Amino acid sequence: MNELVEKYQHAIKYLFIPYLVLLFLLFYPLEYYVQSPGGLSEVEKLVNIEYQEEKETKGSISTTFVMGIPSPTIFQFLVGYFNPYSDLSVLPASYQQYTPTEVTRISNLDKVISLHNAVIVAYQARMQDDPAIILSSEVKTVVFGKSSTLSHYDEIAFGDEFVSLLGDNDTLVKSISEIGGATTNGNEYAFTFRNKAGELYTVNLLKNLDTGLFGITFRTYEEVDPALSYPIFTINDSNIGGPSGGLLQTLAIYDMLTETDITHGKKIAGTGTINQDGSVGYIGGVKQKIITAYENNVDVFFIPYLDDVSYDNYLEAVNVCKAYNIPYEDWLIPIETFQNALDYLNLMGGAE
Amino acid sequence: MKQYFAGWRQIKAEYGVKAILDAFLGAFLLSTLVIAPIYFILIEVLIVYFVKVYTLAVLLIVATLFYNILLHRLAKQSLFLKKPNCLAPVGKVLFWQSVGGSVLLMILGLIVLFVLIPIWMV
Repeated sequence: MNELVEKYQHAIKYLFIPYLVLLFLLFYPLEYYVQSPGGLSEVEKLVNIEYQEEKETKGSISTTFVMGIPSPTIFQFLVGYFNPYSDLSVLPASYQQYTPTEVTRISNLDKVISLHNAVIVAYQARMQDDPAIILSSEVKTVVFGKSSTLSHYDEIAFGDEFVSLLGDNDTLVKSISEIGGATTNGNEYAFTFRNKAGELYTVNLLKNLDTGLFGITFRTYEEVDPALSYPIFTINDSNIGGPSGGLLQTLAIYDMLTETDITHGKKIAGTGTINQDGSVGYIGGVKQKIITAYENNVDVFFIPYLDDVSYDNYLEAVNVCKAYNIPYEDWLIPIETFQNALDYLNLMGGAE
Repeated sequence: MKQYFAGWRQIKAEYGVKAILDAFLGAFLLSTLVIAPIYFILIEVLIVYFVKVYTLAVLLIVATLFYNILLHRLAKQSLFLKKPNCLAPVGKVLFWQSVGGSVLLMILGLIVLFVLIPIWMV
């Protein structure tokens, strides 16, 4: 070893300071957020439905994801700065409030809720034509946000289900809408939750004296019971979070439930959240998603078009296409509901 | 293969295990010093330019091959510096070892490209 060090000692000596500077650039984090184009994720890898398994779908249905980089290093910040497709901003409040692991958990929870909505919409749409399909679901209220002032912060996990609360005069409260009215006399109340393993636990939560709140945010959604529904479905683990894949997840699940190939051999992608009534909702990162889809040679890209306002996803996407010379006619498809997307695909199949 | 193992026996007989390990440790440290920033740069660029994930993954595989070649060249140099007039076929043995390592790394790289990345993108 000494022979090598001796032979290269001049290089080691002269490069030592630049080396340290380079390492500093590569590791020092900044309080910024970089958003860049990501990739496509095929929905069939995320959701399995044991139905029509002999059916072959020639095309593909994919969600589009973007890369969000919280606290980038100086080097990443500079790369993002010179990347025409990246957006730089100050670190969002969610990253200031939560650790990256917690943000990931919230994002995953968002995705799971979106997937249940997608299953509900797709199953309901198919139930009209296929009486074999059964949908069983129940309303759940889960922990979706925690304030730093929340007592027992570490014991309550994101996604834990709210079961009940022992309110004033020992009233058992099971609905979150009744929490406020049932907790006026005291400062400490027993909340019962169910964790992911299905175990019940009770914690005494203190009210914040300044705000009069417990410091916990709930979210209510309808969860499909895969065991009581038909066909059975499973949701696989994934690295991509967020609710913006809802529309495409619904289309892919619908495709798995039909005999016909709704893709007609095309590479379908898009973005937009899905609501239980089949309407779609706005998403963020439009520029990055358009670039991602274009770079991945997608044939059709669905995007929410809900209003003629400047922040509308479709109008923003048209501006992005114009700015980056992306031909968007017959490629960028404005969508208001899941049915719109389905009608477009059926029309596309009929036109061939 | 027989020649390769015979070559290693000759090197071992001429240098001794301690000197060989010392040469490889030095080569490992120096080549790691060279390659580590290249890896970090490529990984950080990959995160920002994820849309070019396959291109950057290929560059990472090339960097790994370069690391393997550099490690063996430095090990060879270190052994030569220890004994400039050595009779054992150091160059030949390390060359074939480097080629074998590169093939193995290439296979692993292809697994990453065609199996692990698609699995990860779910």
